[in-house]
Amino acid sequence: MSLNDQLLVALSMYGLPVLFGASVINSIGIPIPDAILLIAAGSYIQIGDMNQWWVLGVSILGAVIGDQIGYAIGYWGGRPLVARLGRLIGSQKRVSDAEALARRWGGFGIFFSRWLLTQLEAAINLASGIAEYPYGRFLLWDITGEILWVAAYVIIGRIFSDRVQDVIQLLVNLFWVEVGLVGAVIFGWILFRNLRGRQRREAAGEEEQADFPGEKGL
Amino acid sequence: MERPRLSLIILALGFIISLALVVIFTIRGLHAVSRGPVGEPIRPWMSVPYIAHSYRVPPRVLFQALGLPGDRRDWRPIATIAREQNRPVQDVIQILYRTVLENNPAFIPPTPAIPRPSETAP
Repeated sequence: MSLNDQLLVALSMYGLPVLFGASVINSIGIPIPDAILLIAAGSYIQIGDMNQWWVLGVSILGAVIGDQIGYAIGYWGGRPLVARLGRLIGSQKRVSDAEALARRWGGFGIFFSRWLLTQLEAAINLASGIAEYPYGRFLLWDITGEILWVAAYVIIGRIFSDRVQDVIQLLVNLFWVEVGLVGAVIFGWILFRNLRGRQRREAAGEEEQADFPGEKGL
Repeated sequence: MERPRLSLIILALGFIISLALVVIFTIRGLHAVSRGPVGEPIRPWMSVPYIAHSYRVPPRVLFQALGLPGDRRDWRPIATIAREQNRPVQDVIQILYRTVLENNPAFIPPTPAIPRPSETAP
Protein backbone atom coordinates (compact mmCIF):
# COMPACT_ATOMS: atom_id res chain seq x y z
CA MET A 1 0.00 0.00 0.00
CA SER A 2 1.17 3.53 -0.77
CA LEU A 3 1.69 6.13 1.98
CA ASN A 4 -1.55 7.82 0.90
CA ASP A 5 -3.46 4.54 1.25
CA GLN A 6 -1.91 3.84 4.66
CA LEU A 7 -2.88 7.29 5.92
CA LEU A 8 -6.43 6.83 4.65
CA VAL A 9 -6.64 3.42 6.33
CA ALA A 10 -5.49 5.05 9.59
CA LEU A 11 -8.12 7.79 9.16
CA SER A 12 -10.88 5.20 8.68
CA MET A 13 -9.69 3.25 11.73
CA TYR A 14 -8.88 6.01 14.21
CA GLY A 15 -10.56 9.17 12.86
CA LEU A 16 -9.89 12.53 14.50
CA PRO A 17 -6.57 11.73 16.27
CA VAL A 18 -5.06 10.90 12.85
CA LEU A 19 -6.29 14.22 11.42
CA PHE A 20 -4.86 16.08 14.40
CA GLY A 21 -1.50 14.30 14.28
CA ALA A 22 -1.09 14.76 10.53
CA SER A 23 -1.93 18.48 10.78
CA VAL A 24 0.63 19.05 13.58
CA ILE A 25 3.39 17.07 11.84
CA ASN A 26 2.79 18.74 8.47
CA SER A 27 2.79 22.23 9.97
CA ILE A 28 6.08 21.57 11.77
CA GLY A 29 7.59 20.91 8.35
CA ILE A 30 7.63 17.13 7.93
CA PRO A 31 5.79 16.58 4.63
CA ILE A 32 2.69 14.46 5.21
CA PRO A 33 -0.10 14.64 2.60
CA ASP A 34 -2.67 16.01 5.05
CA ALA A 35 -4.75 17.53 2.20
CA ILE A 36 -5.91 14.07 1.14
CA LEU A 37 -6.96 13.31 4.72
CA LEU A 38 -9.02 16.51 4.78
CA ILE A 39 -10.67 15.57 1.47
CA ALA A 40 -11.49 12.09 2.78
CA ALA A 41 -12.78 13.61 6.03
CA GLY A 42 -15.03 15.91 3.95
CA SER A 43 -16.43 12.83 2.23
CA TYR A 44 -16.99 11.07 5.58
CA ILE A 45 -18.84 14.16 6.84
CA GLN A 46 -21.09 14.00 3.78
CA ILE A 47 -21.81 10.30 4.35
CA GLY A 48 -22.47 10.85 8.04
CA ASP A 49 -19.44 9.18 9.60
CA MET A 50 -17.77 12.33 10.93
CA ASN A 51 -18.97 15.55 12.49
CA GLN A 52 -18.12 18.64 10.43
CA TRP A 53 -17.33 20.89 13.41
CA TRP A 54 -15.08 18.33 15.07
CA VAL A 55 -13.18 17.80 11.82
CA LEU A 56 -12.73 21.54 11.25
CA GLY A 57 -11.85 22.25 14.89
CA VAL A 58 -9.36 19.40 15.33
CA SER A 59 -7.63 20.01 11.97
CA ILE A 60 -7.32 23.78 12.48
CA LEU A 61 -6.11 23.27 16.06
CA GLY A 62 -3.50 20.73 14.93
CA ALA A 63 -2.22 22.98 12.14
CA VAL A 64 -2.05 26.04 14.41
CA ILE A 65 -0.22 24.10 17.17
CA GLY A 66 2.32 22.85 14.59
CA ASP A 67 2.85 26.43 13.42
CA GLN A 68 3.39 27.64 16.99
CA ILE A 69 6.03 24.93 17.50
CA GLY A 70 7.83 26.21 14.39
CA TYR A 71 7.59 29.82 15.59
CA ALA A 72 8.86 28.81 19.07
CA ILE A 73 11.83 26.92 17.59
CA GLY A 74 12.76 30.04 15.59
CA TYR A 75 12.16 32.37 18.54
CA TRP A 76 13.92 30.40 21.29
CA GLY A 77 16.41 28.39 19.24
CA GLY A 78 17.42 31.19 16.88
CA ARG A 79 19.70 30.81 13.90
CA PRO A 80 22.09 28.10 15.24
CA LEU A 81 19.27 25.65 15.82
CA VAL A 82 17.59 26.49 12.53
CA ALA A 83 20.87 25.84 10.70
CA ARG A 84 20.96 22.36 12.26
CA LEU A 85 17.31 21.78 11.33
CA GLY A 86 17.91 23.08 7.80
CA ARG A 87 18.05 19.62 6.35
CA LEU A 88 14.68 18.71 7.82
CA ILE A 89 12.73 21.53 6.20
CA GLY A 90 14.70 21.91 2.97
CA SER A 91 17.78 24.05 3.08
CA GLN A 92 19.34 27.08 4.70
CA LYS A 93 18.55 29.07 1.56
CA ARG A 94 14.88 28.18 1.90
CA VAL A 95 14.87 29.65 5.42
CA SER A 96 16.65 32.80 4.16
CA ASP A 97 14.11 33.12 1.32
CA ALA A 98 11.27 32.68 3.79
CA GLU A 99 12.81 35.25 6.14
CA ALA A 100 13.05 37.75 3.28
CA LEU A 101 9.44 36.97 2.34
CA ALA A 102 8.34 37.33 5.98
CA ARG A 103 10.08 40.71 6.29
CA ARG A 104 8.79 41.96 2.96
CA TRP A 105 5.20 40.78 3.22
CA GLY A 106 4.75 40.42 6.99
CA GLY A 107 1.25 39.19 7.80
CA PHE A 108 0.38 38.57 4.15
CA GLY A 109 3.42 36.25 3.88
CA ILE A 110 2.17 34.25 6.85
CA PHE A 111 -1.42 34.21 5.56
CA PHE A 112 -0.63 33.14 1.99
CA SER A 113 1.90 30.50 3.07
CA ARG A 114 -0.87 28.74 5.03
CA TRP A 115 -2.96 27.87 1.98
CA LEU A 116 -1.28 29.01 -1.25
CA LEU A 117 2.54 28.83 -0.98
CA THR A 118 2.33 25.95 1.46
CA GLN A 119 5.86 24.74 0.68
CA LEU A 120 7.09 27.83 2.54
CA GLU A 121 4.81 27.42 5.56
CA ALA A 122 7.28 25.69 7.94
CA ALA A 123 10.15 27.93 6.87
CA ILE A 124 8.06 31.08 7.40
CA ASN A 125 7.14 29.90 10.91
CA LEU A 126 10.82 29.59 11.76
CA ALA A 127 11.71 32.86 10.04
CA SER A 128 8.91 34.71 11.88
CA GLY A 129 10.26 33.40 15.18
CA ILE A 130 13.84 34.36 14.35
CA ALA A 131 12.75 37.82 13.17
CA GLU A 132 10.67 38.13 16.39
CA TYR A 133 7.58 38.99 14.36
CA PRO A 134 4.92 40.18 16.89
CA TYR A 135 3.35 37.00 18.25
CA GLY A 136 -0.24 38.28 18.42
CA ARG A 137 -0.18 39.27 14.74
CA PHE A 138 1.50 35.98 13.79
CA LEU A 139 -1.23 34.03 15.58
CA LEU A 140 -4.02 36.08 13.96
CA TRP A 141 -2.71 35.64 10.39
CA ASP A 142 -1.90 32.00 11.10
CA ILE A 143 -5.38 31.08 12.34
CA THR A 144 -7.05 32.99 9.47
CA GLY A 145 -4.93 31.20 6.85
CA GLU A 146 -5.35 27.75 8.41
CA ILE A 147 -9.14 28.16 8.58
CA LEU A 148 -9.13 28.88 4.85
CA TRP A 149 -6.84 25.92 4.06
CA VAL A 150 -8.75 23.37 6.13
CA ALA A 151 -12.21 24.60 5.09
CA ALA A 152 -11.30 24.59 1.38
CA TYR A 153 -10.23 20.94 1.38
CA VAL A 154 -13.12 19.80 3.56
CA ILE A 155 -15.57 21.53 1.18
CA ILE A 156 -13.88 19.85 -1.82
CA GLY A 157 -14.26 16.52 -0.01
CA ARG A 158 -17.94 17.18 0.64
CA ILE A 159 -18.64 18.21 -2.96
CA PHE A 160 -16.80 15.19 -4.42
CA SER A 161 -17.76 12.85 -1.59
CA ASP A 162 -18.26 9.87 -3.95
CA ARG A 163 -15.02 10.47 -5.89
CA VAL A 164 -12.34 10.78 -3.24
CA GLN A 165 -9.90 8.49 -5.06
CA ASP A 166 -10.29 10.50 -8.27
CA VAL A 167 -9.72 13.80 -6.43
CA ILE A 168 -6.61 12.37 -4.72
CA GLN A 169 -5.38 11.22 -8.12
CA LEU A 170 -6.01 14.71 -9.45
CA LEU A 171 -4.05 16.26 -6.56
CA VAL A 172 -1.11 13.92 -7.18
CA ASN A 173 -1.18 14.87 -10.87
CA LEU A 174 -1.43 18.57 -10.02
CA PHE A 175 1.64 18.22 -7.81
CA TRP A 176 3.66 16.90 -10.76
CA VAL A 177 2.22 19.59 -13.06
CA GLU A 178 3.44 22.14 -10.50
CA VAL A 179 6.90 20.50 -10.41
CA GLY A 180 6.99 20.56 -14.23
CA LEU A 181 5.96 24.22 -14.39
CA VAL A 182 8.59 25.27 -11.86
CA GLY A 183 11.20 23.23 -13.75
CA ALA A 184 10.14 24.69 -17.11
CA VAL A 185 10.35 28.26 -15.77
CA ILE A 186 13.78 27.72 -14.15
CA PHE A 187 15.32 25.79 -17.08
CA GLY A 188 13.64 28.09 -19.61
CA TRP A 189 14.93 31.23 -17.92
CA ILE A 190 18.54 29.96 -17.64
CA LEU A 191 18.39 28.69 -21.23
CA PHE A 192 17.04 32.04 -22.46
CA ARG A 193 19.83 33.94 -20.66
CA ASN A 194 22.47 31.58 -22.03
CA LEU A 195 21.21 31.87 -25.60
CA ARG A 196 20.97 35.65 -25.34
CA GLY A 197 24.55 35.76 -24.03
CA ARG A 198 25.73 33.65 -26.97
CA GLN A 199 23.92 35.90 -29.44
CA ARG A 200 25.54 38.97 -27.89
CA ARG A 201 28.98 37.38 -28.01
CA GLU A 202 28.44 36.40 -31.66
CA ALA A 203 27.19 39.91 -32.52
CA ALA A 204 30.22 41.44 -30.77
CA GLY A 205 32.51 39.07 -32.73
CA GLU A 206 30.91 40.10 -36.05
CA GLU A 207 31.29 43.78 -35.17
CA GLU A 208 34.94 43.20 -34.38
CA GLN A 209 35.39 41.58 -37.76
CA ALA A 210 33.56 44.47 -39.47
CA ASP A 211 35.89 46.97 -37.73
CA PHE A 212 38.98 45.12 -38.97
CA PRO A 213 37.90 43.55 -42.31
CA GLY A 214 41.39 43.11 -43.74
CA GLU A 215 42.89 41.32 -40.79
CA LYS A 216 41.97 37.79 -41.93
CA GLY A 217 43.39 38.31 -45.37
CA LEU A 218 46.72 39.43 -44.08
CA MET B 1 28.76 30.20 -35.01
CA GLU B 2 29.57 28.64 -31.58
CA ARG B 3 28.89 24.91 -31.15
CA PRO B 4 26.23 24.22 -28.46
CA ARG B 5 27.98 23.40 -25.17
CA LEU B 6 27.07 20.38 -23.03
CA SER B 7 25.54 22.63 -20.34
CA LEU B 8 23.24 24.15 -22.95
CA ILE B 9 22.13 20.71 -24.13
CA ILE B 10 21.42 19.66 -20.50
CA LEU B 11 19.39 22.85 -19.95
CA ALA B 12 17.38 22.22 -23.11
CA LEU B 13 16.75 18.62 -22.04
CA GLY B 14 15.65 19.80 -18.57
CA PHE B 15 13.27 22.28 -20.19
CA ILE B 16 11.80 19.66 -22.53
CA ILE B 17 11.40 17.08 -19.72
CA SER B 18 9.70 19.70 -17.51
CA LEU B 19 7.26 20.56 -20.31
CA ALA B 20 6.63 16.85 -20.87
CA LEU B 21 5.82 16.48 -17.15
CA VAL B 22 3.29 19.33 -17.43
CA VAL B 23 1.62 17.84 -20.52
CA ILE B 24 1.58 14.21 -19.30
CA PHE B 25 0.25 14.96 -15.82
CA THR B 26 -2.29 17.50 -17.09
CA ILE B 27 -3.70 14.82 -19.41
CA ARG B 28 -3.67 12.23 -16.59
CA GLY B 29 -5.37 14.69 -14.23
CA LEU B 30 -8.07 15.51 -16.78
CA HIS B 31 -8.55 11.80 -17.40
CA ALA B 32 -9.00 11.20 -13.66
CA VAL B 33 -11.76 13.80 -13.35
CA SER B 34 -13.49 13.10 -16.67
CA ARG B 35 -14.10 9.42 -16.03
CA GLY B 36 -17.77 9.99 -16.74
CA PRO B 37 -20.04 7.11 -15.72
CA VAL B 38 -17.07 4.80 -15.04
CA GLY B 39 -16.68 4.17 -11.30
CA GLU B 40 -13.42 4.91 -9.51
CA PRO B 41 -11.28 1.91 -8.65
CA ILE B 42 -11.97 0.24 -5.30
CA ARG B 43 -8.91 0.69 -3.08
CA PRO B 44 -7.85 -1.05 0.15
CA TRP B 45 -8.37 2.16 2.21
CA MET B 46 -12.06 2.39 1.35
CA SER B 47 -14.71 1.39 3.88
CA VAL B 48 -17.87 -0.49 2.93
CA PRO B 49 -20.18 2.52 3.57
CA TYR B 50 -17.90 4.71 1.40
CA ILE B 51 -17.94 2.17 -1.44
CA ALA B 52 -21.73 1.94 -1.13
CA HIS B 53 -21.98 5.74 -1.32
CA SER B 54 -19.56 5.98 -4.24
CA TYR B 55 -21.25 3.21 -6.28
CA ARG B 56 -24.79 4.02 -5.23
CA VAL B 57 -25.72 0.66 -3.77
CA PRO B 58 -27.17 -0.07 -0.30
CA PRO B 59 -24.35 -0.74 2.23
CA ARG B 60 -26.30 -3.73 3.52
CA VAL B 61 -25.79 -5.78 0.32
CA LEU B 62 -22.04 -5.15 0.34
CA PHE B 63 -21.76 -6.17 4.00
CA GLN B 64 -23.80 -9.30 3.26
CA ALA B 65 -21.56 -10.18 0.30
CA LEU B 66 -18.58 -10.09 2.66
CA GLY B 67 -20.40 -12.18 5.24
CA LEU B 68 -20.69 -9.31 7.72
CA PRO B 69 -23.71 -8.02 9.62
CA GLY B 70 -25.01 -4.95 7.79
CA ASP B 71 -23.90 -2.27 10.19
CA ARG B 72 -23.59 1.16 8.66
CA ARG B 73 -21.33 2.22 11.55
CA ASP B 74 -18.66 -0.31 10.57
CA TRP B 75 -16.08 2.05 9.08
CA ARG B 76 -13.20 -0.41 8.91
CA PRO B 77 -11.26 -0.19 5.65
CA ILE B 78 -11.55 -3.27 3.44
CA ALA B 79 -7.80 -3.91 3.96
CA THR B 80 -8.57 -4.52 7.64
CA ILE B 81 -11.66 -6.61 6.86
CA ALA B 82 -9.58 -8.77 4.48
CA ARG B 83 -6.86 -9.22 7.11
CA GLU B 84 -9.41 -10.21 9.76
CA GLN B 85 -11.07 -12.66 7.34
CA ASN B 86 -7.67 -14.06 6.47
CA ARG B 87 -7.92 -13.52 2.71
CA PRO B 88 -6.16 -11.30 0.16
CA VAL B 89 -7.61 -7.80 -0.21
CA GLN B 90 -7.86 -8.38 -3.97
CA ASP B 91 -10.42 -11.15 -3.30
CA VAL B 92 -12.51 -8.75 -1.24
CA ILE B 93 -12.27 -6.13 -4.00
CA GLN B 94 -13.43 -8.65 -6.63
CA ILE B 95 -16.41 -9.67 -4.45
CA LEU B 96 -17.37 -6.01 -4.01
CA TYR B 97 -17.11 -5.28 -7.76
CA ARG B 98 -19.37 -8.24 -8.55
CA THR B 99 -21.90 -7.23 -5.90
CA VAL B 100 -21.97 -3.66 -7.17
CA LEU B 101 -22.53 -4.94 -10.72
CA GLU B 102 -25.43 -7.11 -9.55
CA ASN B 103 -27.10 -4.25 -7.71
CA ASN B 104 -26.37 -1.28 -9.95
CA PRO B 105 -26.64 -2.19 -13.66
CA ALA B 106 -25.70 1.39 -14.60
CA PHE B 107 -22.30 0.98 -12.97
CA ILE B 108 -19.38 0.68 -15.34
CA PRO B 109 -16.37 -1.00 -13.70
CA PRO B 110 -13.04 0.81 -14.08
CA THR B 111 -11.26 -2.25 -15.38
CA PRO B 112 -12.41 -4.60 -18.16
CA ALA B 113 -11.11 -7.54 -16.10
CA ILE B 114 -14.31 -7.54 -14.01
CA PRO B 115 -17.01 -9.40 -15.96
CA ARG B 116 -20.67 -8.45 -15.66
CA PRO B 117 -22.84 -11.11 -13.95
CA SER B 118 -24.50 -12.01 -17.26
CA GLU B 119 -21.07 -12.58 -18.81
CA THR B 120 -20.10 -15.06 -16.12
CA ALA B 121 -23.12 -17.30 -16.82
CA PRO B 122 -22.20 -20.52 -18.70
